[in-house]
Amino acid sequence: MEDVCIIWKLLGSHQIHLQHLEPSKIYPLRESLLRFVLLHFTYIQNISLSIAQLFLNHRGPRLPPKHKAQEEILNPQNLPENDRKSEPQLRKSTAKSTRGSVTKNMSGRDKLHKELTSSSKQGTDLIDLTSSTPKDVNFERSLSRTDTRKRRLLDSSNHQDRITDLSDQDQHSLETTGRKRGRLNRNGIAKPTFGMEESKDEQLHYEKRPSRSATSDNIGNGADDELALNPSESQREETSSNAHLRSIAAARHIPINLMSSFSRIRGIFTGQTSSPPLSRTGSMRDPNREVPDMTSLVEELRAKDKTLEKYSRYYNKLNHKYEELEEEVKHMAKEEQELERQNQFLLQQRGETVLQCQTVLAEARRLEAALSSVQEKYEALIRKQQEESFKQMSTARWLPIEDSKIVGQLDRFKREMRSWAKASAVKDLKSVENLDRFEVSDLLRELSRVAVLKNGRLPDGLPNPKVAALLLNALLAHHLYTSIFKSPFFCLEYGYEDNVSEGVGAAFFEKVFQVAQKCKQIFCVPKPRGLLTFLQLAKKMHMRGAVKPYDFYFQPWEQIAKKGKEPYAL
Amino acid sequence: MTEENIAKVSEWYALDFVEGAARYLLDPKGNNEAMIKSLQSIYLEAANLSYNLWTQRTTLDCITLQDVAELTFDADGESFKPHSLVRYDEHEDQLKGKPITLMVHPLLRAFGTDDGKDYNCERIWASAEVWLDSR
Repeated sequence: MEDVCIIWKLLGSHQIHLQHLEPSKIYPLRESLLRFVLLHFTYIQNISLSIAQLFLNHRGPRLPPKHKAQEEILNPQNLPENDRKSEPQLRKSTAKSTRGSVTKNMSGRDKLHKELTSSSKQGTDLIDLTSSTPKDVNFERSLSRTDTRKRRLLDSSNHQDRITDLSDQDQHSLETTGRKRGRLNRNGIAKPTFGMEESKDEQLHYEKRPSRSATSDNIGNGADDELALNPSESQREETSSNAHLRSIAAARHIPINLMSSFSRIRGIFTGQTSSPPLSRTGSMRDPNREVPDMTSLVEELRAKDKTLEKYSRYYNKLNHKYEELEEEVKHMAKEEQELERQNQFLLQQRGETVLQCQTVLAEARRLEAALSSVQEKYEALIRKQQEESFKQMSTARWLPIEDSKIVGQLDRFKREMRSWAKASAVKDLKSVENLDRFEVSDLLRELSRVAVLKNGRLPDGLPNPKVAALLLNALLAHHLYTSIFKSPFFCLEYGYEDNVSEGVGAAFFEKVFQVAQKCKQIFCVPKPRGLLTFLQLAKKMHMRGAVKPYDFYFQPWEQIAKKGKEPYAL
Repeated sequence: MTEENIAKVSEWYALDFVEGAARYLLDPKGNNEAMIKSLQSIYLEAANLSYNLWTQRTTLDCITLQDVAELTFDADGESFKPHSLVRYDEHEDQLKGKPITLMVHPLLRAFGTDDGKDYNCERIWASAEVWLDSR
């Protein structure tokens, strides 16, 4: 059996042609191969056909011919022309004698050979036919019947659901086939088994074969029904066929028991009702043999079918559920990918936005720097324009004056005042001596501003002829400088003379100027606790209640500082 | 308005001086009107110059004899210069340290620059002229 399995694997691989095998290796395994083929003909029908063909094409170990005539008989090519011509006639006569309508003018060997050829043409690629056989219509019909039986058997074995759709005859055929093929696995696929059960099934199959063949022939050809129901004619046909096979076996040195097995194969493959298979006991039908209870078997098989259908539906539901879950998982995966893509897109957008913000900020800084630069240029331009406009003024008094020019003008005033005093003064002080006491006192009080008087008398040593001009010059310079250069608000003395009492005249502005000068001094002096502006100092002092706002205008700075209690240490 | 005020103020100050105690020293025989116009011209120019200087960032300081106490003569200093009537060359060594008895021209100093800086540095725009007995 192990060798059979190896060969079966080789055959199943569809890589090795049987013709390429050594007959010496295959020949000892013929018996086992035949048994295997019979057990599993549904699966390996084509292959078994090829094996059978191999057995037909290949001769066994050639034995030395006993008689030349016998060898010539066995080898048709060695026959003479008359014999060669007479062989078809002999076959024809034999066929006529057996039942020409059943075999349709074809001998058992030729028909089997044709069926093998047709099977090889239908599907298998393992068979390499070398012999050519003429075709006819009956041969094609037999081919179609064989194909139909093969398809039905395959369908019935692979799809249990179709069992209920089959007719009773098909069910009967299927039941027989199912029992022959052994157990059914979970998926409804027949699982071949090996052992004693197969032997029983095989026996049963042999016993049921005639009815099956009859059923098949009923489907394919209704005219054969009568033939199938006529055992005498079948026995006759079988007898003639067996005789023919025995002659072939004798010609090819095949053991007679192997030929009987091969006849069974032929009966199976050809499906002829006229060739019922032989039982192992050799009898056609044993009326005393116990027929198994087919009804209970069919019921059991139907119950199993129902269970299988139930599990199949449950499996389909689970499968459907599983597919739905798979679809949902795929959908979720797609959504996750979409979300991931959106997330990536948002991250990319965020990065781009950040870059844009940074770019905008850099641009803003650049614009700010450019604006400040332009502002500086604008201020410089404005200053330049102001200077130009001041220069265009008639007096141009707003422009700064160089120190040398100022010094020169002041020197010029000095000379003019001296000249004016020299020209306007009295020539001698004798006129002053003629003045009364009040006039002299008034003059001395005025002269005390410019000269150091001792006991109401002028300093000693003054040159007599030029004393009046010298004193007048001193009085004029003192008056001019103290009235014009001493105060910045000298021009307000005249116009606001009437408003002096209200504090709006030059005195008012003079007070403000003095406070500002003090503030400038405070601002310029660094203090440990920081520098305080005048307004900060005034605010601090005002909050203490020590100084009133108007005190800054009408009181001397020293008094304000005393009221403020150490204003510099604030 | 400011220019008009300056002109009026300068004229008013000139008249104030002429009508003040200084009139006892004026020559009554002289041309009084021409003298007054000449004096008003001096006051007007001085007023314009003072206005220009006070509108700058520099600060002016005018020092008269009343602002200094017991002022002594120092020929090396630039602030006080001896008057032309003082015989400085003849009595150079004797005049140093002697008290000043007459200030013919006051001292005018300036503080700060046009940029508003260096207010602690003084510049002398018009030195003082002093007289003292040099006999």
